[in-house]
Amino acid sequence: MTKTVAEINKRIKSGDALVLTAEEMIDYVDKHGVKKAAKDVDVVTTGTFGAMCSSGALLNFGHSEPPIKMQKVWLNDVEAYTGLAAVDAYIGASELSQTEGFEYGGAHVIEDLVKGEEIEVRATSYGTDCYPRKKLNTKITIDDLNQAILLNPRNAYQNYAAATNSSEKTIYTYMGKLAPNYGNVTYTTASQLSPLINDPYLETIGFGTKIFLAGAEGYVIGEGTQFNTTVPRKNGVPTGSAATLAVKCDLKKADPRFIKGGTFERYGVSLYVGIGVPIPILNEKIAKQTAIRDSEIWTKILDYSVPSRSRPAVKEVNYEQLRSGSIEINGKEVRTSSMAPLKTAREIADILKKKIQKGEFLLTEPLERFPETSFKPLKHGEKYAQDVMRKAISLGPDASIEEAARLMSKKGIDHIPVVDKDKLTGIVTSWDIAKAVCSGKNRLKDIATKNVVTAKSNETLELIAERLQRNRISALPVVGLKGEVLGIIKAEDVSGSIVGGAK
Amino acid sequence: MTKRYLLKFNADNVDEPIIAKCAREAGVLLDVLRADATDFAVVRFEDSDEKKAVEFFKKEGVEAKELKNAVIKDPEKCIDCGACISLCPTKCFSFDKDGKVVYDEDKCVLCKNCIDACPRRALKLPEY
Repeated sequence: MTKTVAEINKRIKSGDALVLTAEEMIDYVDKHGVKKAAKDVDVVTTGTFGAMCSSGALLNFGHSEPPIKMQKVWLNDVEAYTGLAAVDAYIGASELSQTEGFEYGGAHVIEDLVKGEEIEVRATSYGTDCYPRKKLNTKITIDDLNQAILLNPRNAYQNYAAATNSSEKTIYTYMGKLAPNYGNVTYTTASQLSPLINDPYLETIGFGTKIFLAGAEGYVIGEGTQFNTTVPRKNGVPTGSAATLAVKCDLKKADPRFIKGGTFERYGVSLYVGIGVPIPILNEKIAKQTAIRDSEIWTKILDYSVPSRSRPAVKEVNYEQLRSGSIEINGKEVRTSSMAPLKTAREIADILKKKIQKGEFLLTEPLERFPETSFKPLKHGEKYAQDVMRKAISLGPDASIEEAARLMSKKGIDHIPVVDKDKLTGIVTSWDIAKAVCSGKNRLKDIATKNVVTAKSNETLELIAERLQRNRISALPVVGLKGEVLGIIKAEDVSGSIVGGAK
Repeated sequence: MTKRYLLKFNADNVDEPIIAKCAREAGVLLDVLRADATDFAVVRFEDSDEKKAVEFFKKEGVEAKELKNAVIKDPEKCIDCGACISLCPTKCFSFDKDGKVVYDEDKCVLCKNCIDACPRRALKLPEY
């Protein structure tokens, strides 16, 4: 049994379409089976409301008399980008106020515009023959703008990793405040209601799909930035951040309930955006996918205390577990916080459902499907431990002082890692050997420094230089995940690489 | 049930160990929730101890006022995200069945943990 979007639209127009929210679809499939659901149900509506930093609005102010070519413009002290003609500006959601810092930003300007509040506009320019004005100060509301277009490059992430913090201090991230020692877990997705989780292979959502955006009718205008189709899947759904959407709508038609600014302490400002996507139930596969439930959607909990692009995963969990209020990490009960209100996601899916039922919202077929692509890291010529480390020459804990001295002299080295069963247990320097000769000690295990300062292979040289200096040491071993020695870095390797050795 | 009281110290009693004295002399078990040694303290005790405690503070010349409000939640600003839920040590916040964040202020110990975690700045301390 298959349907077309045109057939579904015909049923919507005649008021015969069966429209369910993604949560209602779960029950419908449970009760009647996939086959009947695919036949009966025409549309499943989804919804999400979460902080989506990669958002902003394109504004056109109109011309003043005499006119100005805005070179810089501030809206309530938040700078907007004006590198587009004379009176167009793009206000980015995460731009911070120059007077209020984290407490107010582009996202709040967008919220205030939608609420109809007055915004102070300040602009400066160098003045030209055709645009002589150099300064402008005025107040406007959204009605005074010619165009106000919400234009978001990356929204509606298909799944996202949850966050925790293994360190001993509280950290502040875009995933919220993370208490020390696995003090809490935060997560941010509408899971079983989320648009791209209900169409995991993007079979119905593509370029040109009409959506609910911030309370207005909007469109998908392309795949979002960082779109990634290579994330491993479980039950069809990627287990981490994967597909994204670029979207637009008329900000003048937005509803303040579905677009709000937010401050993430010591991180910055973000925009909560409400998005609802209708999924036409064209066949059984799509019907089955829209019946996915929280217990079948998995994500990783990442340790945000590791300041790296690749944060280690603490464990894999599903959203039923996360939404239960607590999960277990290392035998301890850890409470969870959602960062994206499920209540509003439900409201959006419900509003969209009612609009379709009333024939006010027809479905579109995508003009183009999205490409398969991956998300690349940034190349920036930085060097890491693994790029400069040299081969380490190690000895066992029972090796003699004499043996170590002979090895140091023969190989011209000053540091010998002490390794027991492939694990680093200590380090011995030529100075330790000299002292050992005086004290009459015999075995490396008796003279080795036990608390060895080490580096990981993916740590930057900047970080390693700082560590060498802070600990007043001249070398450190590079160790792997199991404590095995991968190499050794001497202070001169770091300075050589930074000062002159860079190739 | 417990009660929260705000104590305000003055020049005459600021260097007295008032809270310890209250525990020892009036026999009231006090929990200090917040304090600024030179200015104020927020304490909590059992309802049944209220009379004893209030009398003691009166005798010592310490201004004592019941704090009805714990951390104040502004329902206009709150978007029911739940960022506060996992950070509250006494589990003041929870989702109701409709996914709305409900707040049981009786449990609040004014630890302030939730305040800077709220992306909507919907939570604030009462003014003393």
